[in-house]
Amino acid sequence: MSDKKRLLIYLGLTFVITFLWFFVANPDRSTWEDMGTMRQSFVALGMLFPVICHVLTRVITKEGFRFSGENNSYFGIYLKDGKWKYFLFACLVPWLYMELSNLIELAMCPSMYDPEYYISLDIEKRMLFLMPVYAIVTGFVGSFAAFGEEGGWRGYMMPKLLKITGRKRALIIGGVIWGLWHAPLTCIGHNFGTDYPGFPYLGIVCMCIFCTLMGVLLTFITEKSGSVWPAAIMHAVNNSNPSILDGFMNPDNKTTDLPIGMIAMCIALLAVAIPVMIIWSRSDSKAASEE
Amino acid sequence: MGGLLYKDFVSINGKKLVTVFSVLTLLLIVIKLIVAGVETPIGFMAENDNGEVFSFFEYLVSMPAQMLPIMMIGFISNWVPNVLKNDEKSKIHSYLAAMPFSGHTYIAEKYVFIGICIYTAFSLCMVWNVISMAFLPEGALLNILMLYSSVLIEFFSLTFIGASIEFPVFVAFGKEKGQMIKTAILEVIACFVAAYLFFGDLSVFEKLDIDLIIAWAETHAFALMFMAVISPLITLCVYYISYRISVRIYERKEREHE
Repeated sequence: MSDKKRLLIYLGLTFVITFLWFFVANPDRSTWEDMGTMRQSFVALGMLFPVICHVLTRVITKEGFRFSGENNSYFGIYLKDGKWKYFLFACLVPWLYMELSNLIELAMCPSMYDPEYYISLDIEKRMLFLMPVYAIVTGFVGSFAAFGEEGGWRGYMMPKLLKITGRKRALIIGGVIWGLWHAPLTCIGHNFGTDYPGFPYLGIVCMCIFCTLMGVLLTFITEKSGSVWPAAIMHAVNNSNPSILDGFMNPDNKTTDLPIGMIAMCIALLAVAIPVMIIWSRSDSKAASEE
Repeated sequence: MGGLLYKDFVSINGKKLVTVFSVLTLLLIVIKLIVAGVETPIGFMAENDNGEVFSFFEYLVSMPAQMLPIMMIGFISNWVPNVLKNDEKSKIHSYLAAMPFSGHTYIAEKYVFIGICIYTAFSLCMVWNVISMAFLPEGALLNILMLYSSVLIEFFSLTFIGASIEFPVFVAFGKEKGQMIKTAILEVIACFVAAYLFFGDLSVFEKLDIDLIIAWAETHAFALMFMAVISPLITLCVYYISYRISVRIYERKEREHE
């Protein structure tokens, strides 16, 4: 069976099962904000389907579950030969780009700065400074949910796409597919709410851009570490929102209708993704010259 | 190490367990969705001491999530001696001597295996908790489940510490003697608990109230957050120290064996 066929089986399974889940788990079509945290967590269990479909696809296509070499499932963990540093990268980089994104957002709209905003969030000031470490620890501990996504996207889809189309195309196509997979959630206001011009189509486009940029970092650490675990940890830390500046930024003080949060996040991710792409190409050419 | 991990996975009937828990999880989701979708008939409503009325079905569906952590700890506590016992039974020492890895790797694999088991058990408990909490109205049942999920990290940290104590004992004394020591320690603890229940001051428990605990948690948010950060780190340190001790014991035993 060709890689293209295998990839199509995987994508078909993942999209059908997950969309069905989002439909069943939210029977009354509530928006993300209205459904409350308990049901949000229930709906978010859909994050586990990409890895479940990865396993199902391997069973259907009889590919087996290798931890290295060709058709690697990327489920193993490797720390030797300096691979531990990708785990460190996974813990620290989300904090870096989140703070950078907040700084850019503040530069775009200085009125958002509110030195006492954290009080309205029921958070003590000293808790704010513990937030990045807390996000890293909870990211590590609760990485199973993010593993659900990364085990599928980085563990199955990206290796196949990289093989079929080459790196640049694979990163773009992979990002768009990943962004479209989030569409049912974006349509109920998960990522950007429901109150913005062009809802929900603009949100879906923004999500595709965000996923493409995040995908660069996640695919890089997966390929370099030979494991999806650093990507799962990075995704989990990202979801835990490891930012101190968030406690000093009042979104109610925003004076513009532009989606500056999304623009700032894209600029911050670009600032990290470009050096990563350069390092990636250099290490590839170095490896090629050594061969 | 991958081969050794797979060997231990097979020795604890891993495939069967994965299948059983996957089916149970699916069943729990289906039941939850059915219960959430139908109105509870009159006569199936329960009332607690505070006069709060809730669906008896919802209570039943939340039971597995409340029981699972205890069940998982029972499983893991049983697997620690079993992964070592299976090797004693199959005379693995001569087999390991022929393999290209050291005693370090052998002991490390046991620790990694139990570490993976605890992580998987914790993840499963979280998933079952999330399923049980969905669609629940505000009230006592939801509060209990939220309290459960907030202490799961500490609960499984204790499991790690339990394994950290058990491993060196079982490596040093073997399965039979180790099991006897473990039983003796547990019996001593049980005796102390029984003695306290008979002769101790039980009025402390009368004052225990879930709402009081939740109120305490809200006023000590920083301390709890700090604990959530520090307890996994301390646990991992204890686990690593235990690993170093087990390696030393194992190497000493290997030298005696030679």
